[in-house]
Amino acid sequence: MSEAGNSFGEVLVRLAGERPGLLVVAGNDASLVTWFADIWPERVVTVPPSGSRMRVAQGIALGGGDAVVVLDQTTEVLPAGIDAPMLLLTDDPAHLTMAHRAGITVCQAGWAQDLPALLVGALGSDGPTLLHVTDPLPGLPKMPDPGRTTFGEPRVLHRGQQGLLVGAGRTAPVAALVAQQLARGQLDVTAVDSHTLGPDSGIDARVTLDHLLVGPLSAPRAGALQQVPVDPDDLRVTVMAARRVLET
Amino acid sequence: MSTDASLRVVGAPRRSLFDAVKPSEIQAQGSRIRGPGGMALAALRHAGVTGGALTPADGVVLGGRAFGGLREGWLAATEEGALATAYGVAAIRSRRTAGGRTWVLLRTAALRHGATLEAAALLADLDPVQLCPVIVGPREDAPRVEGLLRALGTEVFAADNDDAWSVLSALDHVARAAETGPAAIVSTRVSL
Repeated sequence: MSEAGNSFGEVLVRLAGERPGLLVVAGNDASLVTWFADIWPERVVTVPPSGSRMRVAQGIALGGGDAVVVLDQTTEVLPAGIDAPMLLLTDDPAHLTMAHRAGITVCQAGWAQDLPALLVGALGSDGPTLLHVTDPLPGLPKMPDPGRTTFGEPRVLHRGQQGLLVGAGRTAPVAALVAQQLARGQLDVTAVDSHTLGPDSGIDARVTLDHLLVGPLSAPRAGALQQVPVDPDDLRVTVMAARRVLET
Repeated sequence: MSTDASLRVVGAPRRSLFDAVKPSEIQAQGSRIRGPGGMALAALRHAGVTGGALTPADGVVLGGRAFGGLREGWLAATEEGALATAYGVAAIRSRRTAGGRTWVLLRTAALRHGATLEAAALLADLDPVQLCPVIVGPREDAPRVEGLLRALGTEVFAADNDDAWSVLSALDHVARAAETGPAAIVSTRVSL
C-alpha cells in the first residue's frame, strides 16, 4: 500500500474507534481500506455495484451514520440524487474529473498530518466529498507541516501582495517552495494550500495534481487563474513560469 | 433433538403484531387511502406496527412520491434508489442498541428500474439487517414480482392489499424472516 494509503488507514481506524456509526461501503477492491477491514471487519459492507454502493451509503448517512465509500475502477459516474454527507474515497485521478462534473467537493491533503481534520470536516459537511488519497511528488525537499488546517478553508502557506499561487494536495508543498524562491527574487506572493476545492472553484481538481494555479490576488476563483505545470525534478522551471505569469 | 430445540421454552408467548394492533382499525384507515399504498401504508402508519412510545420505533423509507407525505422520523428516497438506500438505513440502525426494523415501501413498478433490480439481487449476499421491503401494486404484477424476488433469493410473503388481516399477517411473517435473510412482502390489489 502507498505511504498516503497507510496514513489514511491509520486515521480511519482511529476515527472509527471514536464514531460507532462509521461504516465503510466498499466494492470488490477494498485495498484502500485493508487496514480498516482487518481491524473493523464488521464495519465494512461489501457492495460490488458502484451505483448501489453509493445508495447504500446515502442510507447510512440518512440513518444518522458516517458513510465512507471506496470508489474503484467500476465507478465511472455518480448516480443522480446522491446528496447526503458522505466521504467518497479514491486514489484514481479519473474520479477527480467525475466529481467536477457532478459538482462534488474534492479534498486532497498536502500533508499526512492534515488527514484527521480533513476527514472529520468532510464527514460533517453538507454533501458528498471526494477525498483523493495520493502520495507526495517524488524528489521534492521535505516541507514541514505548516500547522493546523480546517476543512473548507484554504490555508495560507506564504504571504505576499504581488500575486497568488494555489496548490492542492501533492502540489501544495510545491506552492510553498515556489513562493519562497520567488521571494528571494523580490517577488512576494501569497501561496495557498487549497485542499478543499468546491464546485464553485470552477476547476477540475485533476489539474492540481501537476499544476500550480497562478494569477493576481484579486482573482475571483481558482478557475480564473493560469495553470503552470510543475516539474518536481527541476523546480526552477516552475518558478520561472510562475514569474512570467505574474509579471505579465 | 437439537440443542436449540431443547433450549426453547415451551409455551412462551410469541408476540405478534396482532397482539398490538386491531386489524379493524387499519382496515378502516386503509380503505380511506387513495393511491397505491392501501392497507400496507395504513399499517406502517400505525404505532402498533412501527413502534410506539414503549418500543424502539422502526425506520420507514418511502420509495418515491406515490405514498404521500412523510411522517415524523420517516425518510424519503427516489423510487429507483429506495431499496439500496433502505439497506443503508437498516445497516446503521442494526448497529445501534435501539435496533428495530426498517420498512421500505415500494411500488411494483420500482422493480422495472435497473437500480432496484441491482439492489434486490444484492440482498441475498449482504448481512441481514432486519430490512423489510413492502412492495405494493396491481394484482396483475404479483406473479412477475414474486417470481423475480424468489429467483433472487428473497423469501416472499404475498398479501391482499385490500385486507388488513392479510397485510398484518404478512408484516408479521416478514419481520421474523428478515432477521435471518432477505424477505419481502408483495401486497397487491385488484385494479379498478
